[in-house]
Amino acid sequence: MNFSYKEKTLIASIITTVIFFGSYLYIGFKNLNSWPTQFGELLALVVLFIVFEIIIKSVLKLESKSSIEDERDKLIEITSYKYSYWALSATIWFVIFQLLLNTPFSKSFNTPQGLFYSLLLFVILAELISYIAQLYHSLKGK
Amino acid sequence: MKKVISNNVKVLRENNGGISQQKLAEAIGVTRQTIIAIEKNKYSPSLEVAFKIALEFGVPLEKVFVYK
Repeated sequence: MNFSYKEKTLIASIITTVIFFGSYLYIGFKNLNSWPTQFGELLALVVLFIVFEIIIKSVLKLESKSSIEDERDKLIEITSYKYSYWALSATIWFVIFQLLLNTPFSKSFNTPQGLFYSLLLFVILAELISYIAQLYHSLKGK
Repeated sequence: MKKVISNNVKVLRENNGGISQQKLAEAIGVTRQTIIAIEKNKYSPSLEVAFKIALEFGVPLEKVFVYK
């Protein structure tokens, strides 16, 4: 399949997000009680992620014939943000109800680390849903 | 019966010296994927893009887009 610049950047963003934040969350959840959350660590990860994204997008821009974003791309982006918003809202409400009902699952949110990694996971999931929805809508038009 | 917007972009391209989707996209300022989606009736463009397409082919808007 012949992917456009926008589709390639979306695929790259999905892969990069999964690798960077996936590994960070995996290590975080694995060592939930023994590894305190460091602000500097997260900041370094975000900076590294942004730099990596810029490099990948620049490389893709060089090899693509056209790298413009038009009205359809913007419309797809807005539609996808809606899915992302719903996903994030649903997960936040999920946490609230778990805490309210004091379910066994709510114990994961009892520690600052548990709550931090869970919320970060939900934010990353919402972001991934936005990327996947954009890719789906972009490919659907073909 | 529900009315839909269809278009003659593909026919107009072929009748205008077989201009490619890429060339048309560049002339209008959209991506080739948008032209593909328009031709397949999977995307209805904004009025601005619709007018630009009509202007590019030198025909009135109703010759490009049909609402029926």
